[in-house]
Amino acid sequence: MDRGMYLASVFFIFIGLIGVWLGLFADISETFYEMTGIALVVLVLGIAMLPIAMFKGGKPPIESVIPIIALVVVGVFTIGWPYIVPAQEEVPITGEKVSIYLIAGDYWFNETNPDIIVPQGSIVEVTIENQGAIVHSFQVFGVSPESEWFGPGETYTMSFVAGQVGEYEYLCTVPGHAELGMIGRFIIVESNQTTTTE
Amino acid sequence: MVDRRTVIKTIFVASGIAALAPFFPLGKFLTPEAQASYPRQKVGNINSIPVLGQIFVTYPKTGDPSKDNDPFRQFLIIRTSENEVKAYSRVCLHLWCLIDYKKDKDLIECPCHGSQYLKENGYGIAGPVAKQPNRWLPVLQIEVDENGDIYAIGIEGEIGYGRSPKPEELRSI
Amino acid sequence: MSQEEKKPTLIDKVIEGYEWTIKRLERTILFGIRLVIPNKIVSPHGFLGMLTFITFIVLGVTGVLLMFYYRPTLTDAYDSVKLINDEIDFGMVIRNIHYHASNLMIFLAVYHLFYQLFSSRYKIRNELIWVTGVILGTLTIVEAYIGYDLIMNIRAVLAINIGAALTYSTPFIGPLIANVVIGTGFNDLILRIYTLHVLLFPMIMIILFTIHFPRNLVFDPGMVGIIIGSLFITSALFPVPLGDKYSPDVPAQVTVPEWYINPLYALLRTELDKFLMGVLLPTLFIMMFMVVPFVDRSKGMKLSDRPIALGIGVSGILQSLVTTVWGFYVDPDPRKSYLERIAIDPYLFFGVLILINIVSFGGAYLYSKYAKKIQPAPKRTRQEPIKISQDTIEGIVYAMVIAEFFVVGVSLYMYLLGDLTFGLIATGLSLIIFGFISYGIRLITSR
Repeated sequence: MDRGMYLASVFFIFIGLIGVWLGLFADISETFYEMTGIALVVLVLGIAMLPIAMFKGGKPPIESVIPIIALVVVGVFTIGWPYIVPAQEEVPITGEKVSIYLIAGDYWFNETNPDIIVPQGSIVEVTIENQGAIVHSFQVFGVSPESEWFGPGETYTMSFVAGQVGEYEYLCTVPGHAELGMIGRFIIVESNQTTTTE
Repeated sequence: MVDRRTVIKTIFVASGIAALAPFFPLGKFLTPEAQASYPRQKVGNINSIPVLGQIFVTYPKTGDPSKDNDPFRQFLIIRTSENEVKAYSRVCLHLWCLIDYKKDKDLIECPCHGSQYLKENGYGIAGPVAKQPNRWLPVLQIEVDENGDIYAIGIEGEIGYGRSPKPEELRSI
Repeated sequence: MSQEEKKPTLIDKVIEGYEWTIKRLERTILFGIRLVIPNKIVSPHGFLGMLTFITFIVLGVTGVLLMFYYRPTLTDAYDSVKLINDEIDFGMVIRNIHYHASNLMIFLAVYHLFYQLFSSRYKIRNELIWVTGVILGTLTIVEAYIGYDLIMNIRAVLAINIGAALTYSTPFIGPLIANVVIGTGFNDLILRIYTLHVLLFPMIMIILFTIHFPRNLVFDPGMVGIIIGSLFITSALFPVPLGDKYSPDVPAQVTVPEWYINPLYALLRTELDKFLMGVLLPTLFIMMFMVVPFVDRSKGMKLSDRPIALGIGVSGILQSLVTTVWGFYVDPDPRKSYLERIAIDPYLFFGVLILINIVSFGGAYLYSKYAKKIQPAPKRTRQEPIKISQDTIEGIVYAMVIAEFFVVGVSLYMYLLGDLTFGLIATGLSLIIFGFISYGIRLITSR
């Protein structure tokens, strides 16, 4: 067994697993996603090196299996993270569809940033028309993913499910625009209540 | 008495170093003096700018888009009053985004990280630029003739980095 | 006993020609270097430097090919890169290989550094080789940084901004260097960093190679094939995005530089003085590595005899990892202002780094003190070799040769169809198989 290569491969597998977890599963920061490719390559390198390191020169000593068991545990924990972390209560999709049409300008939505109220479990389809002079975007923070950025004159549509009941905010995610006023309230109420958007 | 060998060695070394001396001015090759190429160019007319309005100009304009599109050649001219115009470089001193004048705030503002400058003297008063030692916007030197035509004649300061303020300007902040 | 002379076969003529050439080249400097192909399978840890150099050659070749189409002017730079990516035949392939090879070279160079550090290869009159090595590593990172600046997309210009601001903030020589590199504006800047990237820095690196490479070099075609093959496969699987063309009117997006610049980026995001964070501290970090042979005066080669080297090594790895990952982290809440989201709390940041240093050096010293006290492990019995018959190995090698021809065929067919991604994956796979064949043959001939 080649001790140097063994230590290196165990190290690579470990940081590769952490990198993949941070990039894909941990949901801590979007920019971690860019790290996933590198983490995967390091992980594969470690996995490729491990058998070579262990079997070089003959059969490996039995103690070398212990770090591998530890790595398998870390691996299962990492890849299985979405199943391990208690997901939010499953919100039953009522199938109700809510369509919202918004006009984005510099720097407002529908001029007054009105409150948007939707029932829990509905499928919300938002269409935004950019009538401003610069690029804008849309997101309901905590409920929907960030939309792509669309330029003046373009229209963008996205759909998402209204999850947990509560008061959220919808905004334009282009840096600086929310501060300049492109932000409003997005309220998810229990179903059987009316939806309104001015 | 100094040994003859030492004298010869010293002369040899000294002449070797002296042979290198003419190469130092050649360093100017790397840093072209831009002042030579500051032509006098008309960039606009004061009467076409509303009071507290601004125009964007390119200076020096060459007609070649690969030079004219350079952010370092973009300037803004603000008509601060009936008879006064101020001209500054549009390159923010923080990270080189293009800045412009916001009439409702009466400040020159950068869209990237929120740096703000006074229109009177280009002094950075807020945002990341206020944390830097270099916070005075470079000035486009202009002359206005009887017809109101604005001519650009030179640049004061280093675009992207700032200028050295005059003593009376320092006292005024 | 003389027998009838056999007529010289074609193979004999080829070998004669080869020996004729060798005798003529023996008087050149090329033969000052001994290229050794190992006759048994050795761990790549011993020739990581050679692999780094091979990657450098790949970068040079792909770089020259890219130079045929790249235009270093303000208006054309991004457009020419887009042309290479979208329209030139195999342009995307060459560009992706160049990008991934740059990442691979930095990774191999860092891996090479840490292996030499932990195995005490910097001792015994190797100090200068170590110093030139650290300088080469720094130059590699600077080269890669300038390389992605040349694309002139939004992320590249942000990187240029930060680089220029840091250069300018250096006292005394900073403004002078900044003036030289920036000239009269962006047009000059692009052309000058292009010159640095394609000529000046590679030349300096080659000159440093002559005082860094030992005279006996290991060249292992098997590992080279596997590494280059893997490079091609990652290039095909993870194509590098083009980004948006730089325009001074587009507001700053939340971008993160390349991973090797992340530590610097994290330091700058603490919002403390630019020169201190961006120039002084990184220089001190690099110096920490450079002084290792001079501060480690111990006589022993084992890690337990060299606590300072162990401490520097562990601290270096941990600090690099933590700052790189931290550099990727941006507060995901879009309601906060841009500055709030990217700011890093300096107390937390430096607290963690200081903690890492204390743990690394403290742990290293504890290890060196107590490792000798612990009973030395009983002499390990000789490892039981794994028995594989010669026939099995030969069979596997033949199977791999057939597989390689098949995969090469698939690769060529894919290129014919225009599917570059699968073609590149197949090419990479064929190189990896070639590497394994080379190892198999070595196993057969060493018996």
